[in-house]
Amino acid sequence: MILYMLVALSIGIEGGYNTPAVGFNDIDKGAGVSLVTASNIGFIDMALSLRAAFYNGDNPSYTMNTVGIRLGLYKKNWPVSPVFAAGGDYVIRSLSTANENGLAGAYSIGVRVNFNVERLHVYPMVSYEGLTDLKENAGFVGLHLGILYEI
Amino acid sequence: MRYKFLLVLLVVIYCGDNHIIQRAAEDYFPLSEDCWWYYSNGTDSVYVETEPTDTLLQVACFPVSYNGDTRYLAKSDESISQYIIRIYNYGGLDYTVLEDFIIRIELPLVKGNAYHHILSDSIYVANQLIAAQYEIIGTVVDFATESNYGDVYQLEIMTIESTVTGDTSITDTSAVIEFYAPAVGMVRFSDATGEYELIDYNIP
Repeated sequence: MILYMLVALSIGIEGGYNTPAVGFNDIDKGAGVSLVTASNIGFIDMALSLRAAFYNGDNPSYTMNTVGIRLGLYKKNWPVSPVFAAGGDYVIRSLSTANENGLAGAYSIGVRVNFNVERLHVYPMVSYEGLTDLKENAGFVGLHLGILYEI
Repeated sequence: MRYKFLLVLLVVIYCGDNHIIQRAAEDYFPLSEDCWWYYSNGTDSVYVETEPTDTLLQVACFPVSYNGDTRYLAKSDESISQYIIRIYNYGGLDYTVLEDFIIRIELPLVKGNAYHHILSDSIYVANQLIAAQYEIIGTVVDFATESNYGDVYQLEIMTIESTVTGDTSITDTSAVIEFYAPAVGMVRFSDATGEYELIDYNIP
């Protein structure tokens, strides 16, 4: 993984807004940010991202935060490209001073619009950000904007 | 290498009993009209059912009948609250000493959350101070995975009720341990009369 990040052709940042779509009725809204490295592997492009997301509860004392890693596939030179990503998140739920944590599988399915200007690659993206503990599936709809720079 | 990482992660999640997404995403209090739950401790039974919504103190709430004894519960993003009214009778007339909603359970359920809520009020009746207080002390003790229900939370709820009339003070304390399951509600409880298990339920 470290080797992959070292040989990555593009680095960048992605961030945006998430709103509950399936389950998570206690959550009002959230925001996510990712550090992204990407490279072309033949026909397809692959992105490895470290991402964190912060969610506010309908109860002001409640928060849910996630930190994780995703491996994603997309097509950079298509104007509009589907995106598939999978990985894992460490989830922390807190109410006042009490908190719980645990691991969850994470996945994203979405569409991104690619704008390439020389070495700069900008993409707005809409995606379903799913979380699962293999007992329950729930997730958010995310509206994200990413910027990658080819090195 | 990265595919092995994902595989290991999936195995860890699958083998673990920590279903944090279930606890975060599911509703542990499915209150709606015409729900019912039937509990038994082997010799005694408790039938709990919800009735059509009512409005008290401008708060929409569900009358919930516990073997005919109706409690009014209001569900919000932050809590399950219970309507409390305490009346003092003097000279054949009823005087309301205390009337409000008190938080019975803080939401969402998170292990280790402890809370303490108090309702307190007083009035003068025939030049005598009548005071009433209603306290709820709650703790979300733990959660455990049960094969039938998933991750079930255990709550301990203590109720302290006191009334002061002149130089007389009466205090009544009761404790109950309740277990809540996702999409089902209370699946078990124990109080001074025994431990009751959920036998059957209906959630439309």
